[in-house]
Amino acid sequence: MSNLKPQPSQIVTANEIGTGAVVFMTAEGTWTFDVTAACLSETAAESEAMLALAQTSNNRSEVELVCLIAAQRLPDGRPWPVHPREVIRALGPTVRHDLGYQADIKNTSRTLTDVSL
Amino acid sequence: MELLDLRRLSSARLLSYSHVTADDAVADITGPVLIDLDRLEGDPEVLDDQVRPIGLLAAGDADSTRIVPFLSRLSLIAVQFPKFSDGRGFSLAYRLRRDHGFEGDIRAVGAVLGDHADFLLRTGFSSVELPNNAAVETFKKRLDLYSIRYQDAHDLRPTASELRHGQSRGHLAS
Amino acid sequence: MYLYDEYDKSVVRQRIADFRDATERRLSGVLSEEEFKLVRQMNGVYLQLHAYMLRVAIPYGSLNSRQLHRLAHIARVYDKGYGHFTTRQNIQFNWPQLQQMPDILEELAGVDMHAIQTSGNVIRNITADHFAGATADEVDDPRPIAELIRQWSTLHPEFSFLPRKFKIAVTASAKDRTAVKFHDIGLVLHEDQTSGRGFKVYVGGGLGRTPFVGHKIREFVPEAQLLAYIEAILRTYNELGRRDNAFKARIKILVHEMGADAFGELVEQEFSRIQPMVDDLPTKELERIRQRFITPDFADLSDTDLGLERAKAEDPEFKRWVSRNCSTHKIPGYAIVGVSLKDHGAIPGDITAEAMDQLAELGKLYSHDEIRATHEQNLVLPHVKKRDLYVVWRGLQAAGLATTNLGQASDIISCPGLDYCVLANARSIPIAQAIAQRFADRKREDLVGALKIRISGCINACGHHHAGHIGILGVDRKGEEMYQLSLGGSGAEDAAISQSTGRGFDADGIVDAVDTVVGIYLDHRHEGENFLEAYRRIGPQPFKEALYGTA
Ligand code: SF4
Repeated sequence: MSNLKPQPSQIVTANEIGTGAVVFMTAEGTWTFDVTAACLSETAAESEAMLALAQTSNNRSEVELVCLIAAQRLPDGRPWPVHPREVIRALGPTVRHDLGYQADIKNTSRTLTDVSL
Repeated sequence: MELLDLRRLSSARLLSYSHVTADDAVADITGPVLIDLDRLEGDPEVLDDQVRPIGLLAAGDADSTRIVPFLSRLSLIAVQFPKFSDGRGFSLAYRLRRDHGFEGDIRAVGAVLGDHADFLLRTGFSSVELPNNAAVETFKKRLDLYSIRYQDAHDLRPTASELRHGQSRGHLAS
Repeated sequence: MYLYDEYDKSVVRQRIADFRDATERRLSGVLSEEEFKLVRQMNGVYLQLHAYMLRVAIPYGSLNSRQLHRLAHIARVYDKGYGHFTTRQNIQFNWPQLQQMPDILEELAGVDMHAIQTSGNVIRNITADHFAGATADEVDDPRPIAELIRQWSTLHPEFSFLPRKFKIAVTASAKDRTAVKFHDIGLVLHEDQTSGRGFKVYVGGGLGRTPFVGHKIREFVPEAQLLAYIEAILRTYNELGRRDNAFKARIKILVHEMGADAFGELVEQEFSRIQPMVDDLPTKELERIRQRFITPDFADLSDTDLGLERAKAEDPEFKRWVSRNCSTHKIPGYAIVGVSLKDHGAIPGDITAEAMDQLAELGKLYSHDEIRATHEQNLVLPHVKKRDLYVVWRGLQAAGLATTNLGQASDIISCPGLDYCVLANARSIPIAQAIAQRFADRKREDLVGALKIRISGCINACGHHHAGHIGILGVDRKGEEMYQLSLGGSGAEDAAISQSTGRGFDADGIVDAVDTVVGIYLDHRHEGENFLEAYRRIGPQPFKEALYGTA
């Protein structure tokens, strides 16, 4: 969960300052709401570099609570969080499918019901 | 470091104190000195120096009764805030004023924030040590933010309930 | 309802101006994350799992219709169409944006509400009996005292950086509806032949990681000296409460470690230093506050209403609702109406903006413009004429608020858990929903009778699981949500802490386990004995055997 040490197979997440929305860092160092568009690290060094890049965004007061979370690669190559907590964060409350990112998109290949929580 | 007089909003009349560490010889230092409570307890002769203003550096959790024996000789008590969130210093200042009638300068030092400004003034602090001029400006601004207060604290302004009942407290007149 | 005067309004306005300035400085990057965190916490703004969350104080649970309408408006315009009532008579909005937060606070200020000190290590919202001013079993309405404490604790110069958060509850009834003994300070107003009116004072109660039932340190504090006594408690705690470990920083740990007697002794010493300085101002001020509470202009009515009796005779559904949801009012011809926010399968405490508006209208028309929030995440219309009960019931039905499960198995307290809360280990809402569904069969629910099930998503115990007849605690076991079961707690006057049954269960298993436990109760109970009484008589063993076998 939060405050993980840099390790292989991680993504960077944060909350947007103005809205509080959950965001993930892309390979370009920009932020996306779509966890599957996040940049997934291969090595600890990569994770560390990603975190450092994200910190500069934090320093510009764009995002808060920057941290690394564990992620795995889906069969189609895109990243997905490992821990149920992060899946819920990425998608929205499991008791209100009409709220959160899950409500805004229809094109994510997987939904909460697909992953065992 | 910048000093701010919380009541007069300037630093004109405030004294700077040199901090004396455990092994410093007080005689080697000129001007006002700031001494830790432990040192003072172990070495009370330093107070014999009749001319020089002497300040005490107290941690926020210091037991005020330990300070009492020295009070009459102290012109300053600097209360150390170890963290922004540690509010023990407020109670210490309040006690020094109320229980022990200390009338010298009570100065907040350490981790002090603009959010503390109004609270410091109201619990009996008379000055604050801040890292830079910007912090001084923030502090001054924040002292004026709240014109109404509910609590009867060590404060110069009337409380809401005094305003409501057209009453004022005697000790405020001074 | 207490009406703000110009001073109360100024305090709130000045606070918002301060917060607006800080928010702008944060958004423009002048304030750092850490610096702003302190500010936002002092103003009830959290950063939760999905978004910011704003917790709005409802002092002593009292709302008027304008306020409830305004909450509905905020839910609609600034949030996602609903709000969540908590176990501390607050309401939370789960999706507000930081940039709009100062405007939301302005909206609240417009109806004399605020979010001051609903977070952070400060004195939090003062809670009180949700039947205050309506029930016959109280000495007097405790809300004016609660308001006096609210004002005294607002932006307190000395007690705004306490070791940890600090919760105060007030009741004036021997029948405790506030969980008074699970508060940092619990105050019970009572009257004494010789000394007059005063308070029993409990300290060091609380749930969370280490639950304690509060200790009585004073049998009687005269009303006029109450603030001085509370100040003595707070000063002692501020000076001596532990600051080395957040988990040990609550006053309950201090009281436990030094002993309630020793703690009480220190408080008495400090109290004796304050007391000589206390003048008659608190008394005058309390009198003024009493006058600013609008006492309903009750009608002179006969206690039996023929129309009501006829409606009950004709409509069994209505009769059921009356017997389940209405309580005795102190004034003849009136009733206290309970409104459940726990329809089977609903999210406990959640209410839509539309339902808030509908309830506000009912409150305005039929309850002397008063609505109450309870610590059990339900609402109350405190002053309804018996002759209006049928119309009110119809109105509640139309709003989807006429569920007749108050105090029963499906009236579950549940914290937001992992669906919303950053601190959570497991989800609690889906468990509450699944259990409530098991009791959707009304016959079974009625057969089981009074039962308090409480669920928390982590050890912080916002869902009061220690105070439940049946308590459930969510834990994280290697990334899997697991649930521990405990039995025999009570948040009422016979306060008790529930005891763990043993090994935990997974999400499906815990629902079955509750079913099993209820089955054992039904097998063992004596005539007229509720779950807690039966548990206290037979002990945990039969339940454990049924859950885990005899091995
Ligand atoms: S009990 Fe834990 S999970 Fe539930 S609301 Fe409190 S902190 Fe969050």
